[in-house]
Amino acid sequence: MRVFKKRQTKVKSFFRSEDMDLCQLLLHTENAFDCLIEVGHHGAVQFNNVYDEDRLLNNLYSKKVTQCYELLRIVDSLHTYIVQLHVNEIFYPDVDRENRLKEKDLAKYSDSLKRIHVEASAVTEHYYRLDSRRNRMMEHSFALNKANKYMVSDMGSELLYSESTVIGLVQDATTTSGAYPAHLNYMIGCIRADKFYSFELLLYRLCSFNLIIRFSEMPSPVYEYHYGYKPERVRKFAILMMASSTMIWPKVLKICAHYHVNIYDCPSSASQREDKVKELSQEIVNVEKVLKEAELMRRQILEVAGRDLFIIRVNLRKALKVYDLMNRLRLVGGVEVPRYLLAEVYIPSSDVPEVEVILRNASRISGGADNIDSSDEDEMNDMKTMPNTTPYPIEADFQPLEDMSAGAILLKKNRLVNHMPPTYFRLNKFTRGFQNLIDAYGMADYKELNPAPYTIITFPFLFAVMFGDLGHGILLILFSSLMIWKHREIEKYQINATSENEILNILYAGRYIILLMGVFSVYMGLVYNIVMAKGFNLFGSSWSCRYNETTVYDPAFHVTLDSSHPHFYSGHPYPLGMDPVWAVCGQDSITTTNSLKMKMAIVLGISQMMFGLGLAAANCVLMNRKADLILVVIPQMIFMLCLFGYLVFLIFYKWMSYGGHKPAPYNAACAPSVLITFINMMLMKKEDPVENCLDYMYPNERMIEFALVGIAFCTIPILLAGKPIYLMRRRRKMQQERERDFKRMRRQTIAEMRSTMRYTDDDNSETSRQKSVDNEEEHEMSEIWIHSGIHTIETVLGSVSHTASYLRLWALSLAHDQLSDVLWHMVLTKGFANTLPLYYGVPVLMATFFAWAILTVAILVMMEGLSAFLHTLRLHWVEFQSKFFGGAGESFKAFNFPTSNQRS
Amino acid sequence: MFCGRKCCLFCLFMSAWGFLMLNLLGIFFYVQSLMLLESLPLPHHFPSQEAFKEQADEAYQDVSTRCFVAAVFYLGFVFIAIVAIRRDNKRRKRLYKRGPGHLRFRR
Repeated sequence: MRVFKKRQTKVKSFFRSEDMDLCQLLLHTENAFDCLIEVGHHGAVQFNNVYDEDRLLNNLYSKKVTQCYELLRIVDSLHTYIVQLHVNEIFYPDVDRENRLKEKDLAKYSDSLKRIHVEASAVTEHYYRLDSRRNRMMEHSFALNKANKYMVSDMGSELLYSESTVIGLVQDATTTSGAYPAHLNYMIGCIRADKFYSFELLLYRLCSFNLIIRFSEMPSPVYEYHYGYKPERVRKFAILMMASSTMIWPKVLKICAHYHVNIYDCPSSASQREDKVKELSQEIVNVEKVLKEAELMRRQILEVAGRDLFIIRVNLRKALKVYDLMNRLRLVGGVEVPRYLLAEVYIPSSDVPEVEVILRNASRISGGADNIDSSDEDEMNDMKTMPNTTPYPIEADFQPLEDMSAGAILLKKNRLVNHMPPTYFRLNKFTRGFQNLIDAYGMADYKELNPAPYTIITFPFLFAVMFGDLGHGILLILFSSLMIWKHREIEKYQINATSENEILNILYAGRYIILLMGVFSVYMGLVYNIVMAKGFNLFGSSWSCRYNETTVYDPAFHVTLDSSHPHFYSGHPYPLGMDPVWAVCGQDSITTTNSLKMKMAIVLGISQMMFGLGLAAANCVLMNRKADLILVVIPQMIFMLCLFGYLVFLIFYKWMSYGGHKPAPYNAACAPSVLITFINMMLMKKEDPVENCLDYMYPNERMIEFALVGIAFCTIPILLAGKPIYLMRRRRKMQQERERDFKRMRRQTIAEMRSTMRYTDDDNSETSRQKSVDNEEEHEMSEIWIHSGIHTIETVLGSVSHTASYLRLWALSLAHDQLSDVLWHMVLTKGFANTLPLYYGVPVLMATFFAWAILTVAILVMMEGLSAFLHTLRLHWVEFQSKFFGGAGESFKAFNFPTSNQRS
Repeated sequence: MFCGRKCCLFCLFMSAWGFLMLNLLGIFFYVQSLMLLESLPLPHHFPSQEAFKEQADEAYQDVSTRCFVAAVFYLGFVFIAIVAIRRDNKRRKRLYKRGPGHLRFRR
């Protein structure tokens, strides 16, 4: 047996996908099942192309698949019986570890299931038969009771019905009068309540008044048993039919047969009827005793079945999955006796040694379904050779050979293939939540940079920019900490719950995201100086208000904050975040915070987009796509830097150079508008300066701006024509090489050339075409030029729209702030701003606080939090990832058994 | 009991939050925080500055006392919720002790 060289493979972080090895897996038919069971539990092997629609089955295991389906049907039938009788089916949480399936166990499952099924079916059939018999006797007894009560009523009074009176009624309805002897015939039975009315109507139309029907409902519904259906509770009517002539009874009996009426005997005299009723009552009691014992036996059998039914069901489902997979593998070996199954698999490189160990152990421990006889033969051989000690060395030598021939073989493929390997990230419970956010948009290409590591910081941060509030952040931290602290109880609850709680699953999967969102919200609450909609003053405000009483009461004077006077603004900014004066200065607060937050949104948005372009450059370097780097990414970066990077520079320069407390021409009156400056830069026009102000923000501003616009517009032709020209030149060079060396030209398909970010230089993908070279080039080049034009337009216009899209950071922050303020003033202030005495004010305050707290959690934390979450998600999916993320990969779908829980 | 376990936990959370926040609000009203001036029951016009100061001081004091008293009531609710949760825990332990007996009988 060949020994693999175990090269040192370090486990990479999840910045890029794991290295994938393409392997050939050769399994012996004797132990393939057990090997695949172990591989399924490990969950690190992906079988390629086995679930395609046009995949041919080898039909070696079709019988096994059918057998598993049959056994699962028996399991479902037993489960139905168990549910009917409310028998306890035992649940084993550790079924995946302690009750691992082996192929020899399937025969045991088959035998035990069939035996239990036969016993349960027989006992159930017996029970149903006894119950039907009891029901019929109860019906008979009830019908007799009612008939007897009706018949003997003539002893009481002449006003009631009597036999002679009924005879008179019946005779009056007929045409004959007194021709027949006076004799009354009657019949009793039981019919279903839902059929009685049509039955009565039919008899009336057939017999008219020659037949009189009386009915009474039985006190309780009874069960009806039909083969193959569930027992059904139905209401029953006991009926009494009386007629003077015996000629109509055959017709009535036929109708009764069609309506499934149970006809019962009715003795003529009252004493005989009473004796019959007593006899039936005694018989009912006896049958009920037997029924009780039958039910006890039935329950015992089902309890024995319920003891192992969960394990059997879980393992049968796994066996079904494995046999279906084995049925799809390719058979190799001799033509007459195929003995091996061949599969092409992808395994993460760092998991290959572990998979080899698993396959070796499974091969050694395995006992196939056909090995029972061989083990018995071994025992017999041991008994025979007990007196002799000579053959032992021979057996010791023979064992490794057999093990080697029957073992599974895993070979790595070194030949390159056309298709992209699957993408696999090794995650833990912290990083899985963030990776799920990215995978919901698209799976990364193989070896493409993964956005998830950077999302760990940028996602909660941008959420906090919109949601920032110290108190609300603390609530998020408490909630996520509770889920993290109780994670073992929550997982146990998820395993044992009989119905799935989807909201809890989503929140539990994202508990670390919520924790980081809370932490960053606390930070932004400190920056915004807001806690539960109220500002706080930690370091002392830099502003003060000094007016005397005469000035305040002067109606002509307008009270305002004059930042140019040292009595109002001390000139030293607040150390951390916004000055708390903006929370109390009224209308000026909106003006100031809007300006600040809009500029902050622009700065953060452009920073994130530039970071995305940096990742695009790193992606091109790592994937060896130099043409894309030089002709696509770098022009994009230059374009963004010259225009929108300059916008960020203008914002910071204005903040640092101008101020209300500075002398002219750098005071508030002379501060130019950044937006107007930017628009004038793009339109290349000048405006007249304001009086006593400079006409520029810094020296040579106009010249620099024109130069930047020129450079930005120079990159657009590179974006448009750079790559098509490069492809044309490369094709021409390849054509010359082909003509010179008589080699086949390596052409790129249109699908690959349409990709602007993924430029594959696949030398092994040689495709021959029947078309001529000139026609093909012309067709493909037109496609390439069209696509390049579209990409250029998208880049230029997308820069503007994506920058504007980041203004939602300001919009949602403003909305959250105003909603918090409205909730405080409309709800909680009603507990403060009243002049009630103490024993009235305290309950009012308690009630208003309770309402305010509930509304804070329901509206500000839940609804506003969800809104900020969705907007942050869109900013990441569209504005950030569109710069560098292809997202066209396939995820690594390992052959894996999901964790068993109560519902499986 | 009159309230389930989840309801007890909810009441405990709300009462603890109420106790903490109303105490903080009481302190801030006592030290006459400027941020809370708008929440006081004061008219919009005053004849003089001294009148405004007197009425504001009085309103601050009244609301502060009200907050502290409400916080004390919420503390009472906190204790009631804790007692209810402990009683529920004891009841669950009692139910759990029957489990082995039940299993023993079944065996």
